[in-house]
Amino acid sequence: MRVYCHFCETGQVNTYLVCSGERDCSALIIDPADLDNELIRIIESHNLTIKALLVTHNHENHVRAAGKFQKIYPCPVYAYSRTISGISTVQLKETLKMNIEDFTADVLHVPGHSDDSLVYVIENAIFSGDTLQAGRVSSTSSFSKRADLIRNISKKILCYDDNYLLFPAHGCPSKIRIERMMNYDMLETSVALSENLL
Amino acid sequence: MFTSQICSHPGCKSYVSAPFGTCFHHSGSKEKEIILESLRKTLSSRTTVRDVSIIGGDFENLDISGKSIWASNFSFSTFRSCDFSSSRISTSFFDMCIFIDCVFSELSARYCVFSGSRITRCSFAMSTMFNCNLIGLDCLDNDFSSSDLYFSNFSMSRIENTKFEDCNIKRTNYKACALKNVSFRYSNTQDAYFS
Repeated sequence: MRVYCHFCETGQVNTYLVCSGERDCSALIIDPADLDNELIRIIESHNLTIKALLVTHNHENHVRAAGKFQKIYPCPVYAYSRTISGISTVQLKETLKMNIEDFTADVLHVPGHSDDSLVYVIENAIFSGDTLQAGRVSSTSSFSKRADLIRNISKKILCYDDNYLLFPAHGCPSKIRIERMMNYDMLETSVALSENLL
Repeated sequence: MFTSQICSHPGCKSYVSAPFGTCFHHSGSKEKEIILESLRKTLSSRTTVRDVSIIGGDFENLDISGKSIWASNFSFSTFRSCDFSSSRISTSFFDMCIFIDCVFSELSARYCVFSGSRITRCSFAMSTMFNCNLIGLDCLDNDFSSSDLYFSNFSMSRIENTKFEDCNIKRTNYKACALKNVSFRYSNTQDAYFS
C-alpha cells in the first residue's frame, strides 16, 4: 500500500490518495477536498484507477471536489450521509468491514465533531478525518459532544496497536503511540477524570 | 509505504525490516548487516530511499545529503553526526529517535513525524518543514533559523537554547511547550499558536 498526502490550501484539508501498489493499480481517495493539477499529475503519471471516494464526514471543505472527481474519475462515493454534494452515496451506517477492489477497510463510526464522522482503517493506516488529530481532538459544537468524541476516540481508535499510523484530515500524521502519550486534549481529559473534575 | 507485516518475535508488534520476518531490533547481527548494507548501497547508487523500516537503528556519520527518503520508518533510532542537508523527506517516521550533532540545513520535509525525539545540537537552518509532527520533543541547542515551519506542530515540547529566527511560523503550534532561552526574532509569532 502507498499513501500520498495532498494538502488542499482551501480549507487546509489533507486529501489522501491510497494506492494498492506503485503504479498501474487501483486507488482510493479519502476526503475529496480538492482535485488540482498536482493530484491529477500523480494519478495519471502512476496510471492509477480511482475505485472509490471515501468521505470521513459531510463538511463542505472535505467534499468540495467530489463532483469534480465524479466527472473525471467516475466511481462510487462511500459516506455516512445519503448524499454528498448532490451525489448519491453508498451509505455506511455503523462499524463494519468492507472490501473495495484490492482494499479491505474497517469503518468506524466516531461521532462528536459531526454526527456522520467515519474513520477508515486500511492495513496499518488510520484515516481519522476530523476526530483524532496529531496532539489534539477535533473541535465540537458543545461540551457534551466533546465528551462523546473523546469517549469514542478512546474506545474505537486508541484501541489499535501503538504502531498504527494516523493520517488526520487536518495537520500532520502521527502514530497511535504518540497520541496515547502526548495528545494534549486526551491527557487533559484523563487528568480531569482522575481528579473527579468531570 | 513500508510493510505493515508485524515482527515474528514474541510480543513485538513493530514492523519488519523487509525481506526478513523480524523488525530490525530483533534481527540477528547477520540480518542487520544485510539491511544496513542494502541501505548504504541505496544511498550510494540512488537518490531515493523508500519503503525502508529500520526500528532501533544506530547511525553515525551517515551521509543522506541531497537524497530523498519516502514512506520510511526509523522509529527509536539514533543518529549521530549524520548529514541530512538538502535532503527531501516525505511521509516518513522518525519518532522517538535521538539526533545528536546532525545537519538538516535546507531540508525539505513534508508530512514527517519526529515526535518524542531528543534533538541536540542540530541545525535545521533554511529548511522547509511542512505539516511535520514535532510533538513532545526534547529540543536542546538547535537552530531552525530562516526556516518555513508552516503547519508544523511542536506542542508539549521542551525547547531550550534554540533559535527560530526569521522563520515562517504561520499555524505552527507551540501549545504547552516549555520554552527556555528560545529566540523568535523576526519571526511571525502573531501567526503561531502558543496557547
